[in-house]
Amino acid sequence: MTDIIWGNGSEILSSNSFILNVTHRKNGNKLDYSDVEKIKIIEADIPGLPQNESEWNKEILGKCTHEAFLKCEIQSRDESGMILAKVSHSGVGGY
Amino acid sequence: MWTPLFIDSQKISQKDLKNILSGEIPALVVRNFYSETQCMEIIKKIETSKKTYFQKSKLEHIGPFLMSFATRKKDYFQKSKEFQKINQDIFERIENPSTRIFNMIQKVLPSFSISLAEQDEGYFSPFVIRIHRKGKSIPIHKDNVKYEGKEYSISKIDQQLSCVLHLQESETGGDVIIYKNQWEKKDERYRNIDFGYTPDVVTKECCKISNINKGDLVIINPNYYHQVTKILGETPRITLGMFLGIYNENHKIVAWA
Repeated sequence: MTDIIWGNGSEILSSNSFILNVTHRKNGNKLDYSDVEKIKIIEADIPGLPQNESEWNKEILGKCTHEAFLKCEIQSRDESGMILAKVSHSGVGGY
Repeated sequence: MWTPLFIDSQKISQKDLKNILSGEIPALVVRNFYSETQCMEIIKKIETSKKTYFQKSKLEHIGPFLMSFATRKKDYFQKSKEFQKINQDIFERIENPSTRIFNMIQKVLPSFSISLAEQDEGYFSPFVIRIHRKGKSIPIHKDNVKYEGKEYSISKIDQQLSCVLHLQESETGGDVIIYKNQWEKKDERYRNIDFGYTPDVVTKECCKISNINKGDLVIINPNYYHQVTKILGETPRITLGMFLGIYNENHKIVAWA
């Protein structure tokens, strides 16, 4: 099962990476995650973020992720400590 | 005291709508917008729809609503198209609530045009019927298409209203609570995982509307935090909801669910 963390987007690091202030962790995650994690997006499902990654830049990513509540399904962590994850909006709908 | 205004549909004024938008009052409750007999007839039709479209999938709503398709535009417009037939079936013999609400708003704001929202992909869903059974509640939340609906043209509106027609009430519970503070982006840190916000996000000042009758239409500014308390009775709470989006400069109002 994939590890999952949730939280709010913070500083933008590049056109496809940002800081996540972690607020929730899935029960049963295999690994531990700190309160602040660097996330590199490997797949995205975020309102307002173009599907084509070549259209992303720091400004667009900032508009779509800054303070937004996001779900990160973790694929791996690279040697620099950055988490590679599928990032999606979390529960904007439901009712 | 922050209290709702209970009013007859013929008596609503521009000032009343302005007062909802500004938070001067928490809600406008339009009494007997549909009669009890009309509500019962609509419920009967909904029950028939359930057999065909609803029960099979065990969904608790009839008709798509945009926020469950935040990034799936194509699916939303496809579902909205499919819903047209169900909508016609349910309101075959009773005036469609979209028409009735549009007429009421048009009288209050005659310089505004009002219509179902549409964009290149098609028409939006006109409303959603929600069935809330015993034990169900709706957590503290807001509705704000400008933030949540960025993929859609209606995210460019200036202001949003929520219109909920109460078709059936439960014996107890299912009360609406509106809090006297509006959502701000920084509040996203109070989010629950699936939906809604923790109670830390709301002010103590709030308004609980527990005397809503079958057929009443409740209009609120949905950017003010609101919730529905747990349904405690055996009879499900059934509502029909739509949003109105106001474009101030173009004097245009659009509806969607």
